[in-house]
Amino acid sequence: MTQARRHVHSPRVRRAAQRHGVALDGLRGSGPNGRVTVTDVEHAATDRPSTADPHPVAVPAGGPSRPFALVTAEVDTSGLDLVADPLVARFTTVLAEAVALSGAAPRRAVPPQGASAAALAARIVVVATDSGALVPAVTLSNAIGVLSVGLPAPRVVVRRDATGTGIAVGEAATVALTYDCALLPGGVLLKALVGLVTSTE
Amino acid sequence: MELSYRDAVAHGIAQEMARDDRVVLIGEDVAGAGGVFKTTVGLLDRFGPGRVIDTPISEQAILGAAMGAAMTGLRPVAEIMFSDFFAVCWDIVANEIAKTRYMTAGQVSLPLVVKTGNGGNLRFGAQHSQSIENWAMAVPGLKVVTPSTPADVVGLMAAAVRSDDPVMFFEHKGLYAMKGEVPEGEIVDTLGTAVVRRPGGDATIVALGLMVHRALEAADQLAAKGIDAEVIDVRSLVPLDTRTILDSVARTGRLFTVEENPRLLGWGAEIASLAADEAFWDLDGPVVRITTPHVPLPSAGSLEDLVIPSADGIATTVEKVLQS
Repeated sequence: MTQARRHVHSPRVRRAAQRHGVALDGLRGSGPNGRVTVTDVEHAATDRPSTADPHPVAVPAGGPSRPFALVTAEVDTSGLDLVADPLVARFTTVLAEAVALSGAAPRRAVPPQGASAAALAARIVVVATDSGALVPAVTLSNAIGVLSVGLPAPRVVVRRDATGTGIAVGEAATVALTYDCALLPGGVLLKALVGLVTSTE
Repeated sequence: MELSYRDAVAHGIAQEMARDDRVVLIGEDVAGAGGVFKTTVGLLDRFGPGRVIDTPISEQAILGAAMGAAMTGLRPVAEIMFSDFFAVCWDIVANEIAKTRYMTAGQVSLPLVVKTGNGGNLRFGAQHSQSIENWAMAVPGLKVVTPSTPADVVGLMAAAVRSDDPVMFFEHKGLYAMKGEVPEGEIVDTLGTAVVRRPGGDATIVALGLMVHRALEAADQLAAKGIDAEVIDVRSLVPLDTRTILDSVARTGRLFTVEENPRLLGWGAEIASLAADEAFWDLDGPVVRITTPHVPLPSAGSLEDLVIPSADGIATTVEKVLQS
């Protein structure tokens, strides 16, 4: 019995894909024997439409030393069940998949910032879409991994109502969590994010 | 000033003996003969027979005396002529010297250096050509150093003498004749620090002793083919400069070790383990160890050249792996 050879991506490529939110399936490789390289992933990420973050979080200058991520979420504080969205619950492991599946244009956008590929660390942004779901998106930052939290005051927003057909008025807050991926696993991160959201009530 | 590797050994010891009169040198033929490899020439004349001491042909006696001297306040440098001879005095090294500080709860430290001629390339055969630094690094309580340049010989020897713990100082016999620039004045290096001998972005080649020079030659060959290899001189196996190695791998995504020791449990296996633990997500391919095979070293020149990693072999392996 013959079995098709599994297409193998190196750990470095898989991490780069996760950082940039690039789906490896179907990506054409330019390396030996068609292997996907980190450069292929970076090019794939660059070719995608960029987004812009209206609430940038300042991070200390310095060289990157380990995986770094920034999570921001604009959440409707009158609908905390949003954070139980399965896309969010699984976002650290299915980030690229989630971005691909979301299909919805984020309400907020973050443009990639210029830096050499080696100096870039991942910036993961969780955005609230018009449908009410929190959807992960990815862009880049040349920041080092430092834990910091930003929590602006809640504000009044207009959103779709529960039926999806009308308009409702509620409170929303933007929370930001900057974290070191090596020190703060995804599960801990999610709890921290939930805690921040809960504290806005 | 320019010094040969062998002269740098004497220079480094002399620097420390002049600085600290507790430093003494003992070993077979280290005094009158200036060392069988001429690495201690001039020390007897300069420091006298009370501090430069010839011993009988007994490695156990040499290291036993060094241990006792260290326990009673001296800072001895002992020579084991060929590192292969560690095999006959391993009890003193592994069970006594390495463990005294621990077993006396720190009451008795052993500030001693065991210097030895290590490695092949001189057609000395199976019992006088081995690279045994991996034997030493397997014993908790020992520091393990292998310089690859005359300047490093002086600086690392000074650091070893000033260490309050026993240091195994592996001089590579195949490098004794090489010459290099050594800065004037006192030189003191730092144990546990690796050096990037050649920067590069496509692959990290980690090497030790004579293999550093072969890795550098291989890197030149690779550069001609468009492959930019970084060469790291480990210098110190214990303590190990993991940061320099991991930082390099984070940049290149590829890791090769070049080891003269036989393959099984060579020092590169520890580096590979380190990379698997701490650099897995940086790796763009498997860690590849380039080693002497698991065979006794032949004395025939053609055969010795065949088994010890060569520059051509290193370059070929790196190129092949990067293109696979």
